[in-house]
Amino acid sequence: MKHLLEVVNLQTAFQSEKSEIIAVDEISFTLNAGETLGIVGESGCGKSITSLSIIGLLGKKGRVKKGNIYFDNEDLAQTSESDFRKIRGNQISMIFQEPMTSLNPVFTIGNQMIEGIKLHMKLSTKEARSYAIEMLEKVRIPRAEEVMKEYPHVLSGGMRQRVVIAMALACKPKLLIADEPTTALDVTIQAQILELMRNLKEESETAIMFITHDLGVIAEMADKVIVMYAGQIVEEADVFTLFKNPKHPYTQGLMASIPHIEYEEEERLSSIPGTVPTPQNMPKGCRFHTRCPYVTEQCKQERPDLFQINDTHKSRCWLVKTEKHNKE
Amino acid sequence: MVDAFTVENIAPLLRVENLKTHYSIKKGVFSRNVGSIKAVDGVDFHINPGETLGLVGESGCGKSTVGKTLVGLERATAGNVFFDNKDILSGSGSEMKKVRRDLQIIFQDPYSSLNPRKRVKDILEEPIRVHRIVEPQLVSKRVDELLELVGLPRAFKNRYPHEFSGGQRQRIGIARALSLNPKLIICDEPVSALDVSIQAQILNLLKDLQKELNLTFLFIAHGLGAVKYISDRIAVMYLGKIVEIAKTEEIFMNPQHPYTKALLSAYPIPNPELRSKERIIISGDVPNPSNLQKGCNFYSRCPLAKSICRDEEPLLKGEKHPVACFAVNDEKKWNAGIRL
Ligand SMILES: Nc1ncnc2c1ncn2[C@@H]1O[C@H](COP(=O)(O)OP(=O)(O)OP(=O)(O)O)[C@@H](O)[C@H]1O
Ligand SMILES: Nc1ncnc2c1ncn2[C@@H]1O[C@H](COP(=O)(O)OP(=O)(O)OP(=O)(O)O)[C@@H](O)[C@H]1O
Ligand code: SF4
Ligand SMILES: [Mg+2]
Ligand SMILES: [Mg+2]
Repeated sequence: MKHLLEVVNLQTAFQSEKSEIIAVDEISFTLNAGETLGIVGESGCGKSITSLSIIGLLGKKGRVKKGNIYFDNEDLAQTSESDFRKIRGNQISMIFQEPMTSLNPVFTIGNQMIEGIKLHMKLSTKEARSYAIEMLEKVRIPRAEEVMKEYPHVLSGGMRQRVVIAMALACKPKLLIADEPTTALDVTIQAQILELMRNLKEESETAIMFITHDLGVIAEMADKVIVMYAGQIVEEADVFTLFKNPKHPYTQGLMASIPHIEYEEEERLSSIPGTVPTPQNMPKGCRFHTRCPYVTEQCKQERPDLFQINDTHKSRCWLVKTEKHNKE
Repeated sequence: MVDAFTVENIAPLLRVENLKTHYSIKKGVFSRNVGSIKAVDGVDFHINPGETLGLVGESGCGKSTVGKTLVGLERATAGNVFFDNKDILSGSGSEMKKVRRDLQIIFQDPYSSLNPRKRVKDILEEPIRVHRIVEPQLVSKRVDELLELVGLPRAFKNRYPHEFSGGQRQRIGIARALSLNPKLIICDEPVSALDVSIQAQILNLLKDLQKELNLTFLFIAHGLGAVKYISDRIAVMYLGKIVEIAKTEEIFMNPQHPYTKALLSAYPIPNPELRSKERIIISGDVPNPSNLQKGCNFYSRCPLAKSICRDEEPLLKGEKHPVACFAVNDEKKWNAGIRL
């Protein structure tokens, strides 16, 4: 089966005053229609840059330096900005963490939604208007008709995020990139929105890239998961395997750090000592070796590849090699 | 952590009675008062020495306002607060200065709560000097001790806040709160801005410090996992009021208020095998706190609401496990499952 999205060996760089910073490197993954890919990892590990590379919103200083991003047989890494504009908002939509990124404070909700819908769906103003109201009702906005006449600032954070989600889903995108869509929301509101995204995905076979650092949300939403560390993918697995049998020491550390509400009393959380390296001073060898409990001489010297454990499970760690070795 | 059996005979370190903090809404060039936001609207609780009380609830329900009012950053509109048996809302200036020392606060945002132009050394030394905690020649030694307590190398004291990671900055915030040897620390979302692995480091640190220094905590957060991990008891707030308060296990095993139940049910559990569990998803948004209706504040979203809930305000009732709800015993409806 042909994948809807196939990212191959993506490397994205930023030009800073003196030098070039490689923000993400060796990123490869695939995503099929109707599938949800979760992306997790600590702040600064490159989750947002990966998604901004896909929709071509890296800004003036950033560029895809290497690799390919095949979307529906087209390489987005080679697409011109004018062609991109047609794809964005139509075939690929993005929900940003902060809803005001996607909302213009000087236009009413109705204005913004109708504009977007007319642009991408070739409907008349009247048709676009009733479709916008329908979408607002779908995301459970009460008084949808009145909200159409209101400005973003009078809405609560949860309402704004739902408006943004309604806008992102209005054009029935093939791919929805959701970058921390619920991080700013309360759990009861978050539960409403997750439910909604699940329903919409089932109705229209949308593929979703779901970025978050909340492992609870990942467990809830994802089919497969990518764990990122310091600009690279360190583990990839289906969601059940990742939680039951994480292989990379970083993933294991993350899992052990979560305080659980479903456990009886926990005396002590385990934590990962130290901090993430910055792109300016990446350590030699494995990027996790400065914090890893299993570090060996080899880890300090040589970069591990993203080794294949089985068909659906990969880990960027030398332990995979040695374990295999021991079994053989 | 304190043994539950001994606690009941100890005099509380902090006792809060009917606390109200309202913000006035001003409009126009003459700053006319056009109404008020009842951010905290009649709250009662106590905390025993050495205990951690968790305070949870939806964004905007008044958790931070409770914390800020206790440390004097906001003025109470009504009520009493007794700390160490002294009434701290009506105390005199010099008495208050002493009390303020014993009652410290740590904020959520380790980025904005530290002065960017001061070195760590100055950030920590200043309060020690101002309050004459130790002899002037011992100040520097005290700073070293504080850094050691929070697990930072001494060499860090000559650096500026921007040279640290989020977790390290939060450690500095904790060291600053500890510098005056407080008895009670209000932790206002101290780990919400941090990544899970760093969050675990800070939670462990707070627990260790509590044991070592016999500290009492009011721990404000909306991450239920962290709250459960650190708290002996938990108070659940909704729109300016406490709706339920009980021992931690009680809240999680036997939640009573419909909002608490919804909150626990909505919390995403980091285990995909449990994803199919029936959720209680409550619809709607939190009402506007400047325009509250009479009756129960949860009425507009409550799946169990009945007519009395619209007309009367439920009071926090019960000895061991107080709850403010008219429908506490309407169990059956819950089992039917309520969905969006
Ligand atoms: N415009 C930019 N110029 C230079 N470097 C950048 C730029 N944007 C991001 N970076 C760097 O790229 C790396 C990845 O950043 P990214 O925003 O993708 O992280 P993230 O995983 O989304 O983190 P968070 O969870 O905090 O959102 C970081 O080291 C960041 O400092
Ligand atoms: N200085 C202020 N002036 C006016 N209103 C305020 C002020 N500070 C807070 N409020 C309002 O008081 C209510 C309670 O706010 P508070 O910050 O205590 O909530 P919270 O429970 O801490 O929320 P969060 O979880 O988002 O931190 C909110 O409606 C808020 O908008
Ligand atoms: S390669 Fe070595 S240092 Fe890196 S994660 Fe694996 S064991 Fe740890
Ligand atoms: Mg990001
Ligand atoms: Mg707050």
